[in-house]
Amino acid sequence: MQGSLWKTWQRQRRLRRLQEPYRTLLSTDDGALVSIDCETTSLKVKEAEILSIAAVCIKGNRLYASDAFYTLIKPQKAIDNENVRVHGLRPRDVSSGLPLQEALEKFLQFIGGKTLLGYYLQYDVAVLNKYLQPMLGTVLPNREVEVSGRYYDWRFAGYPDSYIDLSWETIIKGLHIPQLPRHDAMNDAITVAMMYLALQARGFGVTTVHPEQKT
Amino acid sequence: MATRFDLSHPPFDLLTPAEASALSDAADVLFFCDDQEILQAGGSVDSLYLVLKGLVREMSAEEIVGVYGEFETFDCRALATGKTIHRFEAHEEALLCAFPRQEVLALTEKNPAFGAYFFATVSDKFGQLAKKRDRREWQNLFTAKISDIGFRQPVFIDANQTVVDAARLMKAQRCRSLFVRDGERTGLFTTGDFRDIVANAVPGDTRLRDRAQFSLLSCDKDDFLFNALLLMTRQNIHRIVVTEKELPVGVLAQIDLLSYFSNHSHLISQQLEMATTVGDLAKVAQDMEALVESLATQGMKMPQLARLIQVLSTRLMARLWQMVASPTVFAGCALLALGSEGRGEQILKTDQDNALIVGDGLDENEVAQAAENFTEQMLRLGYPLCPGGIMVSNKEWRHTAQEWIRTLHHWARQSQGDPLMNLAIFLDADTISGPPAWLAICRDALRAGVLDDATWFSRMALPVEQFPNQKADGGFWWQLLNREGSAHLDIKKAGIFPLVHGIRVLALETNVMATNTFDRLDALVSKNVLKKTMADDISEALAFLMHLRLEAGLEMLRIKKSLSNEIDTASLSMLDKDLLKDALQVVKRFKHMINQRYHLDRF
Repeated sequence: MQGSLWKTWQRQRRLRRLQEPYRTLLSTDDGALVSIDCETTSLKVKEAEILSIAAVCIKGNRLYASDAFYTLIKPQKAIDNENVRVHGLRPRDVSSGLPLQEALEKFLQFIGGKTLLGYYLQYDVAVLNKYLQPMLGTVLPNREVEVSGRYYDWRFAGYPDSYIDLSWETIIKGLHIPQLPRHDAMNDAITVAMMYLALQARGFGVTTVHPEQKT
Repeated sequence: MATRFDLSHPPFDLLTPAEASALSDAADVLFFCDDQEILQAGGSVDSLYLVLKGLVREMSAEEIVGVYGEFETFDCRALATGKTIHRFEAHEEALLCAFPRQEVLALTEKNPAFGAYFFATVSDKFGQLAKKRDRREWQNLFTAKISDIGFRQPVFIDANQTVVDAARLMKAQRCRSLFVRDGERTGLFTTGDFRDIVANAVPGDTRLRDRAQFSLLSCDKDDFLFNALLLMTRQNIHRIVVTEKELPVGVLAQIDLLSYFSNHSHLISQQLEMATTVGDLAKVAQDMEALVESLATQGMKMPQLARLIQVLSTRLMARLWQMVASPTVFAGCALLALGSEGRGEQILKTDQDNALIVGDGLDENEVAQAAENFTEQMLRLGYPLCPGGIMVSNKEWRHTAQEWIRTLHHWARQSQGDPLMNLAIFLDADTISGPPAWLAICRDALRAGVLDDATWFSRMALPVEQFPNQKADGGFWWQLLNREGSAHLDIKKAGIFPLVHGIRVLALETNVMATNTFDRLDALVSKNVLKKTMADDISEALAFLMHLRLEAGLEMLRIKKSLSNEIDTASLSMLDKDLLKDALQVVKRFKHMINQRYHLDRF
């Protein structure tokens, strides 16, 4: 309870610090979740440049894959060949991408004040914040749900004494989620959303219901 | 580019990559807990659902009427009408892909093959299957070996003998070519050579050494049939010698090749003609099994395949009967094939069903001896004994025509059970050897006796309900739901028997003379007893069920298990499962119709 009080206060403070039009935009919470994933040039937040962002909404038991957000971003620096192997985005793939600023604007329009959902979300949010902070005057105020945390709670409830493996593959298997044929930001965001649907059905969805969310 | 969701399964595999990709991007994902309702009965439906994970059941009231597993699609009917008549529930946590109905409908218009899958009647859906099988046929043509074809066994003659000797030997052996042995070398002498002999007035005592062809073209017996055909075409010759380790073991004629490519049965009927011992017949019986397997994998349609086998096995049995019976008994009796064998619907040798109409004035013991010998030899040819004893060795199935008429009337007066089924089996009889008029006399006498009795037909139709839906197809859905264990379905009880028997009773009632179920269906349509669409559905469903039983049977033979009517649904492909569901629905509809017509619920 202490933690959630702190988070609520932190969220309020961030919202207050927001400039318009972002304050109105990021305060609108329709109770939906948005699963996000970014592909970046590095795993170090300081060095990482965003190459693509994907986001997809969940409401109730429906995952709105048909109305998803996906954009490629033109990097400011040249992409390191080493990294191409990790994310599969070649320089030519992202050369047609949007400029970073424009992509982030669109991304904010899409997510609004929805709760963010992700796998190792902390990293994605940190990279996004690195670029968003100058625009917003603060970091993203959205609530966050870590899918591996929800998975941990579910496994823990069933097997409290066992070691719980939180790797991507294990969660997919453990929840009987289909492997999507492609590995990219969009499909990863959808996969995370499917994980969440499965966990939600087992009673391990969002734990605390916020006053705004009830309406 | 791969699509977001896996659309490589039917019917989505019919889409172009661009169409699949667009459809995939238009899909939402839904998750349902165990037993949660997905679609309400009578509710409007705005999506077509693809099961990504889990199991979905289709319910009509409290009865399961369908099951959908991974990569299966529902509800195709609702796609067209926008409404579902049944309720859909998640049986096991179901993750579904929902494609907007409008998008799918647009695709069905744009892509005719995809559209056909949805809007086709059941019949058309089966046709699609046939199209898939075509591909296998081509493969078979290119991979068949010469040894697969069963080339003619060689007949040898010495080079010192004359052309007249050769002609006599050919006549005796009923062959069209001879191998001519001349010391180390081997030559070929064929009927074609006589043309030149006659044309050039070559004397009859000319030695074969001077007339035979010694420079021969040959192929190894393990070579591809296709190569043999190429060789013949290129060299413009009609025969080649088949060798094994360089030694001639047979002759392959172009006609054999062509008939193999059009119809492999030709050689078998020839072997039947040439058989002189039961051992020869046993070999032919074996070849017939291989023929069935090869034709079935080539995609030959079931009704045609069944009829072809009927022709061959009728000749096989007639030949055997001729071998075991004395000339008087052979000439004085009519041997009948009963049941599926009589209808021409037995493809694999499931059991012997036969009977004898004994002519007047024959020695009873002599007939009995021949009949017992026949049953025994049939077993040797691979026809298992009939568990119900419906065989000529059983004296209950050997009568004179007058006795048969009495027996049939006696059976007809029984209220139900075995006698009525005996009657049904006899009604489907076909004459294998002997005067066909005798069977017609028995049948006509029976018809005359029962035709005005409406309740009699109801009693006759009752066995259609013998294996109720709950136990047969209803239980089958439950088995499909239980995915861990393999699900066994008695395909005869669940489908083939109700169809065949119902049609048989309809045919009897409306005086249709045909015995083959497919022929009966045609006749019932022309007499306006059945609607054309219904008859088409029934005949497609029956053909498909026969096909499933055949595939399962061939597999049983392969692993040397005795034949049964059970199929393992776990081994079925997605498409086959889909078609099986449709076929069982047809069976259900038909049973319902029979039930209504004969008021079976009163019993």
